[in-house]
Amino acid sequence: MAEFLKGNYELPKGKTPKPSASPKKAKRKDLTSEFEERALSKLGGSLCFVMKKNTFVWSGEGDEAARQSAD
Amino acid sequence: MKPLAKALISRMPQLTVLRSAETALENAKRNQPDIRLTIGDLAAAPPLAGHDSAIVIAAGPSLHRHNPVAEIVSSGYEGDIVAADGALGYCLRNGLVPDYVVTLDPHPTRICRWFGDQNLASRRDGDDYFRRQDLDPHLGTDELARNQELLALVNRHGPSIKAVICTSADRSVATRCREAGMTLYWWNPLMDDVDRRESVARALYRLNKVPCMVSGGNVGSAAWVFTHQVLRRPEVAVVGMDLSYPPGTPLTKTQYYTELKALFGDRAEEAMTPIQNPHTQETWHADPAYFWYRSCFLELAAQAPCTTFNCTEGGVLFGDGVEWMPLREFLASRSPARQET
Repeated sequence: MAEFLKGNYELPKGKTPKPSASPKKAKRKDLTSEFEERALSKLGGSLCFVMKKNTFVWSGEGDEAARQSAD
Repeated sequence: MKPLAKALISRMPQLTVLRSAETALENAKRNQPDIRLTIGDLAAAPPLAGHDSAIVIAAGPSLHRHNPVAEIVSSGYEGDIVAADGALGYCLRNGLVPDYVVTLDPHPTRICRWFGDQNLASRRDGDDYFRRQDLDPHLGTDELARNQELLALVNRHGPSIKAVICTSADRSVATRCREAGMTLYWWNPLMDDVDRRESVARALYRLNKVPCMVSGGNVGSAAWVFTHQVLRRPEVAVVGMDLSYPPGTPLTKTQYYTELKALFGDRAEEAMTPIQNPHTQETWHADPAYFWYRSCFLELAAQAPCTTFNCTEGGVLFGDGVEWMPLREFLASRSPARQET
């Protein structure tokens, strides 16, 4: 995903970032990833979707078998 | 499909969790004191004899291209009408009072506008969503006047409409529905695997004893699930279920334009997927969320106990489990007026 995201600055030519060795840089990268995720999350759907075992409606353990859709 | 679109679609479930789960949970807790009736109370009533079919009205652009409500009204169709919240205004303006209106999105301010927002004039959040959206373009111009018009319509017809409201909805939506005289029937979103010990849906159920229902990720799909699972209609027609944008729609008029532009700049257009509909020969465009909704719906339709007729006459919802049919044809054998001709 990072290759698609619009950046806000260009790295100076000829310089490549060194692998992060310090906790500070690792923390910045985690924050960046988190920011990226939060920004991308605005593209998410309205609500989570899960479908399992043909169960469209679940009303607690006892009702699960009764609510499974018939074929 | 372009690589960006593919990458986004593959992450849709994860992004949706990030976007909505936390707010949905908070809203469920806030709504807790107001819960009286649930969809279980509707399921307990037997289906009316002779009412084997129902029509779900979702809020896609085909509503405004084809005006299916005019067709439904003139046919004298007597089956249940289940509207997604975004379609409520369109229905009422065109003389059709739905039996049910379904709502689920947890957004704190946008959803109330589908019912008329009492606080619109004082709201200064700079949200331009309604000026860009195509679910009900009527609300996007002369906003304050159109909102007043909608308030009056919903207040007049509210007592005749049952609100099928998800616990994830913002409390303002429940308040608005009650003010309008609607009876509220609650449901929890089935948002994860209830077999897992840490299941959120299971925790919600323990909290409020409200049945958990699959939503399909969006209100139109949820309305369709409600119709065949709770109302138990063996035949369910859908209109306005485009899950895409019509040919020629500029990117600026799509729902996620602001976010796509901010994230991807000039490459934003690569997030859209063109899909040619073999029934209409038109090519519509799905953003990642719509494409995901489409995939979810087709997965559900394959397992549903009903026959699903897509009478939208546009959009990209076609495939196994969905029968493509012009609305007029669906109504022909199911409406008194049409049967007499």
